[in-house]
Amino acid sequence: MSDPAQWQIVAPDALIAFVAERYGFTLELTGYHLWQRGASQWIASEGVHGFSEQVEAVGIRVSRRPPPRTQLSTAFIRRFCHQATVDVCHLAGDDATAYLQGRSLERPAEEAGERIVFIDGEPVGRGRLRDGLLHCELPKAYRIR
Amino acid sequence: MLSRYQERVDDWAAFVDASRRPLPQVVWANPLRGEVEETARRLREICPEVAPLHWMPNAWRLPVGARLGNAQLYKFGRVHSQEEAALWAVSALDVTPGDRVLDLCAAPGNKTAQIAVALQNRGMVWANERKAGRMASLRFNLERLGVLCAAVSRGDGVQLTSDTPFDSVLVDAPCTCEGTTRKHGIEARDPASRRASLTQIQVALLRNAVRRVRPGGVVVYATCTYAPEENEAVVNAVRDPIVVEPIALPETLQTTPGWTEWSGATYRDDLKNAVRIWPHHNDTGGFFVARIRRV
Repeated sequence: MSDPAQWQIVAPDALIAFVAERYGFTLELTGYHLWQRGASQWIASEGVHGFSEQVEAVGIRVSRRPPPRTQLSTAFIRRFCHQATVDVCHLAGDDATAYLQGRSLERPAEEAGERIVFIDGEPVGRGRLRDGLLHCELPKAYRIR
Repeated sequence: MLSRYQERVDDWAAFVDASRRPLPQVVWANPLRGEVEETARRLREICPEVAPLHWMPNAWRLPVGARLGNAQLYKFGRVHSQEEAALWAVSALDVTPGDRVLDLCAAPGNKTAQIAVALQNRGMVWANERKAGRMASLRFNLERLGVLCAAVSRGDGVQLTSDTPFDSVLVDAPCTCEGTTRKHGIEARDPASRRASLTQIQVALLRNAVRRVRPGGVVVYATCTYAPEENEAVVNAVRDPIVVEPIALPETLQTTPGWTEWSGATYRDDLKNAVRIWPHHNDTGGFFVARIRRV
């Protein structure tokens, strides 16, 4: 059974270029394929293929929209964005805990926009700076109480 | 409810006592999310009383009542919680990196994740689940644990087809869950009323699994119930040429053989190679595993 039309392997060039420009590093995707179904993009090991139309997810979702409107998913950030250096935010201590709980943090001096949040050197998810506040964009299932 | 097994259990009083006791939670270190030694260090920091499992590396029992679900270690996918008796069913599959594996009844993804670890995220595990309400937990667990080699589908495992055969197939079948009394209570359920319909589904799932695996490939059939109608009888109902093989067991894990007869019915002789786990032997839940090779 050939891979169905709705799931397609696409070249990762646009994604690699997007990440390089936004976050300042080169994605290393050797051994993986970038899949697209509808507008969503997914990253999966090369061995993932030959599945039916019933499949609704492969590997990790990259984003619900392809570049340039990409918002990287939490799972993708945690797995692939350790080398990010641009538009990043490093948190520690009480701030880190607050972020993981889903709370907003005061950041009056920082420019608005999206960030990849790091805690203890690990990328943990997205945050959005707006009006002097860093808003947590972790999905609820990833948050701690 | 369970008294029908009394004559087959070596120490009935111990069995009943164990079945009523709270079940210790077990967690295992996920190498897909970081070095297991570092995970072990962090785990001991937040829970110094964890006890390593004597029969499986990088897995620990938590003190009764301890929970890690809200810990960063869990949320970041460095550890995963799973019932101890169910942990080694995947090792009976003999997965090697690069294999194509089918997990026919996958939710919530515990064994799927174990398969992905055995694959080292190379190859593919097709994780299928029938129930729409369980898909979210399946997909979240696989994401959280960093599984990159899974394809997740929702559909009836009885109907699932594939042009490319699988190297191995896991059937963690829906069952009456008699072996989960330590979680759900010894008097909580009446399994007999559900058994007939479940047995039909179990047989259909296992038959399809045998057809999906390549010749010479392995199917592991597992349940968390004691009922031979849902265990040995299901394996016995497979028409295709198969062999029930012995399972390589850790020396320190106490088990009993599968049954070759029950209540007037006789089953194939190689079902003695299947394995039953009883709660009072290893302080776990109950479990049944058969390793089946398609001839």
